[in-house]
Amino acid sequence: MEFEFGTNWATYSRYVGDIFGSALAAEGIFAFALESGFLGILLFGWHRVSPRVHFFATVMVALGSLFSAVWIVVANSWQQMPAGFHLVGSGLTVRTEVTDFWAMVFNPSSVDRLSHAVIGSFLAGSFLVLSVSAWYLLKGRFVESSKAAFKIALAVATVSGLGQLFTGHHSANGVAVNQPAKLAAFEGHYAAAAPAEMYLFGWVDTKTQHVTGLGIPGGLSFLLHQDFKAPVRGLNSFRPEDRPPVNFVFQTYHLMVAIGMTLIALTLLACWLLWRGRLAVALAAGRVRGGRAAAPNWQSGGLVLGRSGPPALGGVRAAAHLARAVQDRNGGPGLVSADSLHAGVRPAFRPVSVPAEQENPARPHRRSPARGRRGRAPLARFQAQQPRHFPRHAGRFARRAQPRF
Amino acid sequence: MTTFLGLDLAVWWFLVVGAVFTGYAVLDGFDLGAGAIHLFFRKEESRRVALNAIGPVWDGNEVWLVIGGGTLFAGFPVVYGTVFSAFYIPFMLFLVALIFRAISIKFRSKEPMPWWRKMWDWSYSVASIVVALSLGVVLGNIIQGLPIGADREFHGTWLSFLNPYALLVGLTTVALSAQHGAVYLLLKTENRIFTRLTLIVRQTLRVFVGLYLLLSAATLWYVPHMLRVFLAEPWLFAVPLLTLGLVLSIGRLIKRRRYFPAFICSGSIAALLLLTVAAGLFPVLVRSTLNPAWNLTIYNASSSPKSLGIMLIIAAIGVPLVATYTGFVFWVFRGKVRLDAASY
Repeated sequence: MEFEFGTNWATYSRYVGDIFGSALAAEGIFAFALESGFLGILLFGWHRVSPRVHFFATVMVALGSLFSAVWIVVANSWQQMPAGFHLVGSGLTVRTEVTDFWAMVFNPSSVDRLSHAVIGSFLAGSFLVLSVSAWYLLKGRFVESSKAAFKIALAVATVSGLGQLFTGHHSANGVAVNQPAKLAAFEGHYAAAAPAEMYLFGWVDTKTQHVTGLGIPGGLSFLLHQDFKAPVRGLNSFRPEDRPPVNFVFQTYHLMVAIGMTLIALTLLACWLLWRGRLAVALAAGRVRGGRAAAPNWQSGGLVLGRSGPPALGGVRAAAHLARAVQDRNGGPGLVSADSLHAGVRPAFRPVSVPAEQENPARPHRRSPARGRRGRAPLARFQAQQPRHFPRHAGRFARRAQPRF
Repeated sequence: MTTFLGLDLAVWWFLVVGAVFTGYAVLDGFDLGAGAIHLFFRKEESRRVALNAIGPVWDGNEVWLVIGGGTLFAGFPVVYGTVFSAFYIPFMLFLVALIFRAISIKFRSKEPMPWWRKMWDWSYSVASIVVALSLGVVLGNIIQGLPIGADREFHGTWLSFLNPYALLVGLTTVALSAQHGAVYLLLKTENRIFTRLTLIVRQTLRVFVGLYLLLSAATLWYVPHMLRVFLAEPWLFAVPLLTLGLVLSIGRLIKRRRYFPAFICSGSIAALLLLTVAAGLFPVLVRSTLNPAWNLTIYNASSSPKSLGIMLIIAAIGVPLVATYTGFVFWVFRGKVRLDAASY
């Protein structure tokens, strides 16, 4: 992605390199290196370092991811609500230059978007752990550690989901102040100054400026100003070129909210079932497993929403000239390759985190088991985790006693 | 331009970007090299050991490229935009190859089927070679210069990148990485694969020395403007002469089985070659073959001094930290490879 700024948006890179480039370089120096460096110890250093050092490495990896989120959200927030800069030059060589670094970093939206993004990533990550643990529990593999992982992930998911309600609300309040056109597009609100509805779902007809759907009258006004009759600035009060693509923003926003609410409902349901000791049954019914696919979609819905608002650096006329100047001749291959690569690789990612010969000692695939440097067999703790009576071909639908927990 | 300790901020930033890319070449050079020679190992055990030799460290090494791109973006955004969009096809190719290298390493040993492992072995090796080759081709074209217009955009086609000199630089890069990787694997392995490697390293060294001499001659022929800088400041000749000395001594070190000094040597060769390029180019970053007035230099292509100053502080704090914990990780995984339950 970092390289694609240069390959696909060269003119834009030259325009904002002073500021956007700085945030990206800071991300590289502080976050990427920290995470990737200590990941080696986290994955492979179990027996090379003391547990304390290993834990430190784990914390460093988590911190690296967090710093990554900080810097990239700072960079993107600056694009949404630029601050701390001035323009230098004119025409195609115009550039933004930083005047106040801290104003740039703490621009109006960075804290809101950072908290929303970080909690969102906790949500997506915990759902990944939930679905993988649920899979293992259904298969009867790694039962003890999966139970523990499931409970921890469920706790994180529940708290994160509820936390997103707060951070999302705070972010929307910020958008109402700084990017009112985007907010109006969220709900397809055209009337220049009138109470705005909150739709549960709908379709925007941009020609008639009418939204067909199920809405709560005055709902958006209430969320913003705690008054059902408060006016909200609508799209008609903006010039046509300053309005975002309305239907697209409307749909992605509602998709994000719908998926978010579904995830919250799933986690609350799972908590209640866990409390009542009936979670195992629910797992078998496949109810919790559905969450696995939803979380990434939610993330991408939110991301798409964030970026489909008004063009970056809204209000800076130079941007329009530069947009035309960016040459599009080679854009296609990059997009196609990245998307198809991701789509092609995802099916290969299945929950198989332990080499087969350790997991299934009855079925060695080579003549001698792996021997370490001094001829020792692989670690006893991994072998002890596998039940010795594990059937060779369990199959997807094998029935066995569900653990009650 | 404000100065710090006597050097312009732009010059400092030139040094920082150069240092980061050099660090990448030295560190990921041996990862790519280990990948390039991977298919020469026939036994399952050997391949697994070779993969785990770079297993804990390859990710951290690769990150130096990302940091390099980031520092280039921050310090010289004009060069970043122009060069990256000019080299669109080679960059996309090597990005896809990087992705495939990463997933090959991770997926390879997770299933027991021979076809699975063979497929990912091939993917890993081919991807590593493609990365080294495309980076070398990009470097070769940068050395020669690009048709940059007055609008600071590239006015050419990607086919022009496949000229003989650039391809030679690409092949030399692959050969250097293969040799660097072979020496690294010699440090990290024992038994059967070690014996195999003592033969492989001699072959890679021969190929590299041959290509290096050919490249040196070709540089004098194809890129005479590089020579001009060295003639103007004769003390700069120390750099290519030192490189030649190291190249000649590596063979002797390997024959005497002094592998760690040999590893330091091949890393230094990579660093010195890049230093030669940097010295030859300075202060121009991208030469314009259309009109020298349209060269992108470290002065006309940089960010504002304020931004450079801020970034220099960030780099001064961050890069020593990165070097420290990178060194720590290498120290933790010192010694020969031991396969255990957590290995790739």
